[in-house]
Amino acid sequence: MQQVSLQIEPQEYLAVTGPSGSGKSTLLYLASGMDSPDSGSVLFEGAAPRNPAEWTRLRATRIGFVFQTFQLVAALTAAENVELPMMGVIPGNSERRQRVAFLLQRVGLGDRTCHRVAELSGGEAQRVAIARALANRPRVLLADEPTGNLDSETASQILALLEDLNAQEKVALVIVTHDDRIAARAWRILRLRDGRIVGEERRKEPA
Amino acid sequence: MNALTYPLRNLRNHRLRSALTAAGIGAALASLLALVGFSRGVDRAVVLSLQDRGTDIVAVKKGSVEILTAVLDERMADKIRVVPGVVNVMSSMGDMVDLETGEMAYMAGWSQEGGFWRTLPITAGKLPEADDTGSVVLGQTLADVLGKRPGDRIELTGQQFRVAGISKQASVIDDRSIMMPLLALQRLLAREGKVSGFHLRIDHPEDPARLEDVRKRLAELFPDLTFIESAEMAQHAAITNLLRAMAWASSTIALVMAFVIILNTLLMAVTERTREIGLLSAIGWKPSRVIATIVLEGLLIAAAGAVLGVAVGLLGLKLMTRHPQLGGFLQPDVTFVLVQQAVLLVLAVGALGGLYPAWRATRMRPMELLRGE
Repeated sequence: MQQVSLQIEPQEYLAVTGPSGSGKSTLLYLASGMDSPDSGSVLFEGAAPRNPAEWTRLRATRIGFVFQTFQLVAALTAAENVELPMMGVIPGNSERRQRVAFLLQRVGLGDRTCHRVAELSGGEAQRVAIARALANRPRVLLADEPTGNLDSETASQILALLEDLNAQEKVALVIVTHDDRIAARAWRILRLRDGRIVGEERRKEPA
Repeated sequence: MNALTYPLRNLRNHRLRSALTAAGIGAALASLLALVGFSRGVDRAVVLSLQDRGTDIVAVKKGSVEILTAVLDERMADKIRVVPGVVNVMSSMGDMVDLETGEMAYMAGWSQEGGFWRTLPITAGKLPEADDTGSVVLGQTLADVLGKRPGDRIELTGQQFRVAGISKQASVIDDRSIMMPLLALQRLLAREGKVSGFHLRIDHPEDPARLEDVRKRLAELFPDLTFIESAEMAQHAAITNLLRAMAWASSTIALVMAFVIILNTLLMAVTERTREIGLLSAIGWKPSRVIATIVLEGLLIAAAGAVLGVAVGLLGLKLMTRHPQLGGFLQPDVTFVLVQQAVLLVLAVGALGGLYPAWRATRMRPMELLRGE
């Protein structure tokens, strides 16, 4: 990525779009501290995390990440996958269980808590992944092609869920997509090509 | 979900691999218990043999590697006997013999002084007379193996002896031995006037200070001899030292193999789950938590191996000691402390085996791990 300057506002709904290899996913990895820039800096809430440990702490408590391929742990149940980020953050067992139940209910999977990953459909797996991303009440949700592996009907439902969470839970939403129709639903669209921002379109101001 | 859920599920997901790894660790632990247990059993038998005779101190030739067959002048017994604190002295001699049946047995020749012979619990027949150089007493196990009874004949290095009595003894060494008057063994081995060592009783053996005091005095008066307290005799016998060294060497090899097995299993498990470990980092797991989880997997496999190893080891030892041929020779000494030490060793091996794969996994950036690089 080169010459990229970008600010994500609280509670914003931003879509990052562009062709394959344009740097969309890299932008998310940089924004979450999973990758580090060769030069330049990434700030979170006005401060630049000084080391990987600070980024890890931010990912545990302030940044939620949703992957295209769900990235669920196959050995665990839906509920346990959602609970995973809470380990070491929410100390009480019963508190964690309550939060897991609430989140699975919130994403419409209240009846699938004890199912293993292999027993879930693609849409259900992505819902579990979204619930997991919300585990520790993040300020921003970074979603890397969250509907890329889903059929159009399920994709629409997942998108509606993410938008609902953005509106109701007051969490900023950044969606990476190469689908212009999905990007068109965001408040702001950022267009990337060859690692550079080539266009920005603001469709709605943050509240 | 608790800290064990995740590692347990991972192990359960690869049942066969986990079970085989645990079996390898179990085999290592069972070998350790068996080898060290048998070696300690021999140590115990040496000490028991002396304690059953009421021996407080043993005197042997200084610097002799094989103290059982060392050669000393028999007349030294008279000089030792007059040292203050010494109550009784028995001259002894020992050697191994091949029997006509192919069995190997230990021959012990004891002098008549001090009433040491009277400590032998006779279950059949009687003790030989002091001047009877043609009779022997057989340990119960040896008599059973050979099918000998009082009055039977036994050939030792080409000479015929009469079985005067059978003696049941606590020490497996004595229970498989042939005991005879000292003069009989001296003649048999053509070593008249010579002995292997002396068994001493002192006036107050219950007082450790007194025991040490007498031992020191004896050491000053007889610089050619080494005086060893009975309880420490096992540490001075070449055969027990050799057995102990072999047991620990073999056990160390078994433990190293267990370590390699765990390391291999966890390296494989971690390599297979590169993306998963990247995910843990992506959702905010600290490297220390990731390491702890993988090390816990190693510990859990080791713990399963330990349970298996202790069960198989103890059962195997029980079966082996029930075998008529082995049982007479081998009486393992497996204490709770030994089991505890062996289990702790195996758990340490499990934790160490998990440490390197875990450390390696947390060295990479989450993005690289998620891409499965």
